[in-house]
Amino acid sequence: MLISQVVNGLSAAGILLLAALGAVIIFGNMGIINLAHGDLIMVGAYTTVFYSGQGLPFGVCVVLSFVTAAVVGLLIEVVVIKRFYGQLNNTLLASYAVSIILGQAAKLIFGPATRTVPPAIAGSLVIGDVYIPYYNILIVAIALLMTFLTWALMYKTVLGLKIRAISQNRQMTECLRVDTAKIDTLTFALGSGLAGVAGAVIVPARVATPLMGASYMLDSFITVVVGGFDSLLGAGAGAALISEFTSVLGGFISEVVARIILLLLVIVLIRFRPRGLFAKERR
Amino acid sequence: MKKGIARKIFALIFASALLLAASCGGAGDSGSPSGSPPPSQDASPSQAQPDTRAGTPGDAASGEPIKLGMLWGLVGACEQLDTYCRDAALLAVEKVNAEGGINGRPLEVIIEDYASDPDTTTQKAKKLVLQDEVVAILGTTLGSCFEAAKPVVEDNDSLLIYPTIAFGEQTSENVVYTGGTSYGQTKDAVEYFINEKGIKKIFLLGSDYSYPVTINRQVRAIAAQYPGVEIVGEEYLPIPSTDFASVINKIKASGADFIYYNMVADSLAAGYKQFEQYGINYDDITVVSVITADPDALLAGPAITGTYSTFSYFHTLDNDKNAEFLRLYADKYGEEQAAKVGGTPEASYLSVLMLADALRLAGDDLTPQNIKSKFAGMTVDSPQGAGSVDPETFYLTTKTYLARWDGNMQPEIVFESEDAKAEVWPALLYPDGAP
Repeated sequence: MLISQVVNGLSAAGILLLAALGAVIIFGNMGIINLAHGDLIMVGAYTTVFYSGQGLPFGVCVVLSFVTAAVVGLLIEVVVIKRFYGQLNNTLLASYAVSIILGQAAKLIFGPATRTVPPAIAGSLVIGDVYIPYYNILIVAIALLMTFLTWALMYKTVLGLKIRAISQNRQMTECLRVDTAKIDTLTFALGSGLAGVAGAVIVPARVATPLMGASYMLDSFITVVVGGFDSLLGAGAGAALISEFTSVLGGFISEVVARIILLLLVIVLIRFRPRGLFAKERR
Repeated sequence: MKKGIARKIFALIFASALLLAASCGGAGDSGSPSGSPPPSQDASPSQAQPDTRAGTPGDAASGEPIKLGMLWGLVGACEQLDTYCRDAALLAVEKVNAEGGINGRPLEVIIEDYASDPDTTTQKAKKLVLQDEVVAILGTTLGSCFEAAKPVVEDNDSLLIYPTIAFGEQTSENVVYTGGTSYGQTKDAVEYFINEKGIKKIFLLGSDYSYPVTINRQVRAIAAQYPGVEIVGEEYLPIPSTDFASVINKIKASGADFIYYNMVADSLAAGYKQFEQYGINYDDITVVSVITADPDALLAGPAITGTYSTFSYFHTLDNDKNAEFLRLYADKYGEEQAAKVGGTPEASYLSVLMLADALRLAGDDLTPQNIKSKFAGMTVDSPQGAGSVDPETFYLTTKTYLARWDGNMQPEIVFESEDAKAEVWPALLYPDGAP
């Protein structure tokens, strides 16, 4: 039972990490609270529902979900978010409006009903009493791969260097003739694309609904707050901590209570470590 | 820098609260099974006829119209189900008017949209009663919205026809419960599996709101009658939750051989899917729901195959009245829609026909209490079978149909109760009758 719960926690952590990756980039690096983040996950989910209905293999659906969500994200940035840089509260309201628009648009296009697709790999690995659906192993693998790719992009490419530079000191970076507006747009699109991948991976394990975004957005922000605002390692650790906590505790008490305890702990945490557990010290 | 972080965090908390409020508003705390996810993916028939008035006087009935109010949640959590209900009810209105109306007077329908929200329900119900002066209101599916409409009809001495299956344990001077109570369906199903399949260990699993909590209390009382049968677990998941991994472990650890599964909204389909993924074998563990109805099964997909639902109506019922109902439905809204009609839309159709009978009997005295009195003891022969309105509680008696979902997600009836019942105050819980 305990082992099962720990294993379950890991696959839940995979989903959470994927959902949080985009948030780390947009929220952590750009300082934008994008309330439409969950809805970009929804965009990815429906992209996969749509293309997998057309008979495309899962791998292709994931890539298409990335592209679609990135394009939607790019449009959101250019049309809305760009106008509100540096105005936290206005960004909040504007992106909330975008969130409602996306949710309702999905409802108009796909109808309000729950949609789902079968897992890319059926069956489960059975070790004693422990059941691990193969698909869940795939989720964790994809999550780790995406984290690695994001890390490589952020720390091994010029674009990543520019993104990090802007996040540290925007004026100074502009002085170095970096087109910060363009980089902002790209970063936002990248974060949105990652949210799309999360959506694509979530659907086969769970379901897609037009308003699914809200709960995933909450979870991904909690992950970022716990893990650290701009740390990929922190996001991974945050996702693992949160999932294992709710999963293991939820195995023994009611899940509702486990979640309440988690949220209380998060409140205490942000009081004492406002930048998260794994945040880098900044001068 | 530090101040910036504080602001960021504050904004984040504010944002979270905002979203949480938004996400809970819809499927929130409903007292009926109708928070279940909306049925179809296709363009609903709603677009076909945006006109909110139907039943215009034809040749058949030309007298002064009788105003009937309808309350449906046409946006929000109830959207899909209520759209089906409205369509089915309008079908019955057309039928009544085509057959001569009410003693020569046509029914005129005024539809209000309560937007799946209790406060809006109160306003719209008041509008129908006070401004439009309708003779009766048909509608509401979401339990919390029904609870909002009820005081309005009670305070203004009007009449509400409630077509949704309820958990019982309440009555009202101003409500006719044409959806019946689900206690009979629960009792028949649980006893069927105890007697026929010898199940011993029951696990109660539901969405965290009043309807599953109440019916699970009823299951406990029923199980207590059978020595050797025990409740090995009772779990509730928050409404949008789609992660069942932990709960499935608890089910396995409990050794349960029967799961009473009553989830709504996003959770409904996700649960069946994960039962399959985590190796719950429906041959070893029987899964039964009193909430999962016809359209939901299609959404859950093949993972539902082999589980059961217990309800007062399934579209696969084989009788003349049901054939007529489905034919009317298909003619107007298409075959595909007709194949997804569940129990609540069927009861909405039936409710209009019953109200028409009551209005005919009421004659010129169309006061709410006179109309209501005509429902007492009324017998109906309907798509769901024969039933009658209990003259004490004004609940329609309903039969139990236990259906197994086959490989095409179609309900295959495996058990049908002898007679229709409406045990509003379950004797096992209320030995002295209504409190």
